[in-house]
Amino acid sequence: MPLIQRHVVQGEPIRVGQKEIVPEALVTLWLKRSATVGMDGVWGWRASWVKIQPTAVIERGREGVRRIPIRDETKRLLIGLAAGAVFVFFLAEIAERLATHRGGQA
Amino acid sequence: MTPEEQKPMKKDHIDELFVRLEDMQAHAGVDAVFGQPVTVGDKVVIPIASVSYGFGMGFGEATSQEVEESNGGVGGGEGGGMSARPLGVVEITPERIHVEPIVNEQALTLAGMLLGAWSIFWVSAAMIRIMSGRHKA
Repeated sequence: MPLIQRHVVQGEPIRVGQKEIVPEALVTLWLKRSATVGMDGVWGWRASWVKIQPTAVIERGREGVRRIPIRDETKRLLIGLAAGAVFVFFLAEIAERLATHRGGQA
Repeated sequence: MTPEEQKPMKKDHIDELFVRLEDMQAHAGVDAVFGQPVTVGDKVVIPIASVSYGFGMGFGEATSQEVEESNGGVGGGEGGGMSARPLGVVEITPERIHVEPIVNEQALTLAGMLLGAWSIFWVSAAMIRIMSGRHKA
């Protein structure tokens, strides 16, 4: 069995007026277990972690089927800020090297 | 109850926990992250969240004769945690279906302040090094 399993699950359709909504989520499952039989005794442990993240709602109507993705805006913005932090670091380093290089030439 | 009688009970308890955990994982589905639809006027709203949970447990039983004679040697422990974070709401109107995201302003404000401090630190450090290099030259 793989250490990490990921699979997409769909829920029961929700009917709202003429429209039908099907919720969809990504389930990530991590599972690890161990059991040992030794001369002095028997011992074991087990750990598991599950993450369920909504990924989309699927709209079924007269117009057809449409998939509306669900995005984690907070996560996206935090990743953007982290990328900004890396950019500032490299910008400061490059500026310093350029200034030092020019100073050395002068 | 004698310690000898307690041992099978502890084992049963751990086995039952294992079975319950397997059951919880098997039922990990969309119901955990999509809430019940709520009607507000002509609008239907479905709250959505990201959910994660974890468990850990361990047990041990000593079988050496020395420990057996002292009527002890069985132990176990377990722990777990869970977190849920709102992601947004699905708004269903007669005209359209729209996902309205929920942004964690507190986390973003904190991250923005950290980015500001980080930027000031690195820009200042670079300027100080440039200036000190010019003075030496």
